[in-house]
Amino acid sequence: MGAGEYWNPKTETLGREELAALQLAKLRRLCDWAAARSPFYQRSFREAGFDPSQLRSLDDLRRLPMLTRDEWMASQGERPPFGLLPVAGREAAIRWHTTSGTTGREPIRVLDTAKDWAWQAEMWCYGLWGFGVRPADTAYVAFGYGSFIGFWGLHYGMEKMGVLNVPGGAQTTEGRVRQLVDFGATVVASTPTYALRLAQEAERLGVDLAAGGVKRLILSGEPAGSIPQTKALIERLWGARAGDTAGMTEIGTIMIFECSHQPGGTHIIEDHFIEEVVDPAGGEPVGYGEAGERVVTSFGRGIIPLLRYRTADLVTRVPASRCDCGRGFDLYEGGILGRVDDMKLVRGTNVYPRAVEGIVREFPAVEEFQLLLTREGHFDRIALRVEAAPEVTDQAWTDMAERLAKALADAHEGLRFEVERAQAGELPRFELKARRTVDRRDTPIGG
Amino acid sequence: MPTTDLLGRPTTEAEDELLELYRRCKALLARDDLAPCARAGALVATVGLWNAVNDLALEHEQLLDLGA
Repeated sequence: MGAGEYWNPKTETLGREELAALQLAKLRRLCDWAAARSPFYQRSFREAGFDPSQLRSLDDLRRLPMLTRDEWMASQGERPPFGLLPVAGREAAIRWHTTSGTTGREPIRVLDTAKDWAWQAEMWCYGLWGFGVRPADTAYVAFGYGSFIGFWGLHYGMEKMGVLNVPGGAQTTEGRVRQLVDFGATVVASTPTYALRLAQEAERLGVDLAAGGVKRLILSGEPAGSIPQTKALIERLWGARAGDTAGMTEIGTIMIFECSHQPGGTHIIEDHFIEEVVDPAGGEPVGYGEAGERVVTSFGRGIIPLLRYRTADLVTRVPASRCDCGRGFDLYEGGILGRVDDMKLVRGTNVYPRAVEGIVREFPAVEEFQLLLTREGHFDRIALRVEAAPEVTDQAWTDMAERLAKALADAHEGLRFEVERAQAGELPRFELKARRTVDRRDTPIGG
Repeated sequence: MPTTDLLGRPTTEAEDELLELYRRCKALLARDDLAPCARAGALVATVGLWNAVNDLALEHEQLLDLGA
């Protein structure tokens, strides 16, 4: 592989032992920093009997307690508005962002210093360069530029790389389609859901995206960027390659990206993060090829040190050798698979929204869908509500609904899904994180 | 005097130059006699070089006390 394939040839091609040595060197400094400055870690280290001097190998990372979102939230309540994790107050920061709030819970509030903010753009550069974006490109960022951190880091990463950047905020979907065509975009950044929405709108406007100039889509914000059927649909509608990335507000940027070799997974940026995969129940590490929960330690954001944060993201880690790009970074096969609490139990059968989406996306006439779970007495119902394309006739719909129901039942031990046609425009559309599963049962999973 | 990176490898000539620039930028940023325009420029330069030396495993430290 040529050095031109990597944003940072020196560390992206390190061997596993050297990567571990680098991670340990950074981890020691991060723990020293947290112990010296963060009230949260001063307390948690003390309670765990941990001292940074105990870090002799990466295995010693497990001496540190894991941090949960609930603990972070409790800390925000204890010392509003930012909690006890930050090492400094708002006077030291240049940015204030929050989580997206799609779960309906109180958002996590985060601060960034000038250095932290620049580092976040740097992480996007690893991913953008790795997927083939170059300074000669013109990027259209289909993003609302609000308090959700979303594609902010991508925007600055594009600028840093020298890409001509078009911020697509404060636009209707129609306006965005027209702009990205008018400005000659070669790269578009959006959520997977919104990439589909843009393609639908283009079709309505008579714009043939597949014949246009967009060569790469940078997807983020939802697991769908690595669902093969969704990705294939997006690539077909756009006539472009789609690269998955994933990040989170808690670290401020992306930690994984799909390289231009598209190996069916996303590389972990391991010179800037330690990613562990653990059993969600017991917290014990799981091996390569086993699904588990992501736990992240980030070396980037100095104002909020983050050690062993339980993300609730479900992933399957595979070795770097799975990809032939030459990077030493391991991968998450299939990207982020979902959330550990995504799984729904319906009449004794496990239902994963990701698997449902994979089936639904094999039906190109589906414009939008929703998975609705309800309970009548002691009987759980699961319905797939579908907005089909307007040209789908009643007869065609009947046939399509039968095939959908059969495909879903076959994939779920015969579980019967009620497939219902929704009116045009009835189902919600999403620009950021899609929430297509609605569980109206009043008893928790398995209840 | 030869220097090494965080992995104990000898640094290259280009890396030495980056490190030297980074250290000089930090020293500049630590001064208290900079005009606001000079301080802002020095801060941007320092942060940019911090990313380079951090990526290249030459240095890994926090800049909070320098206002970054």
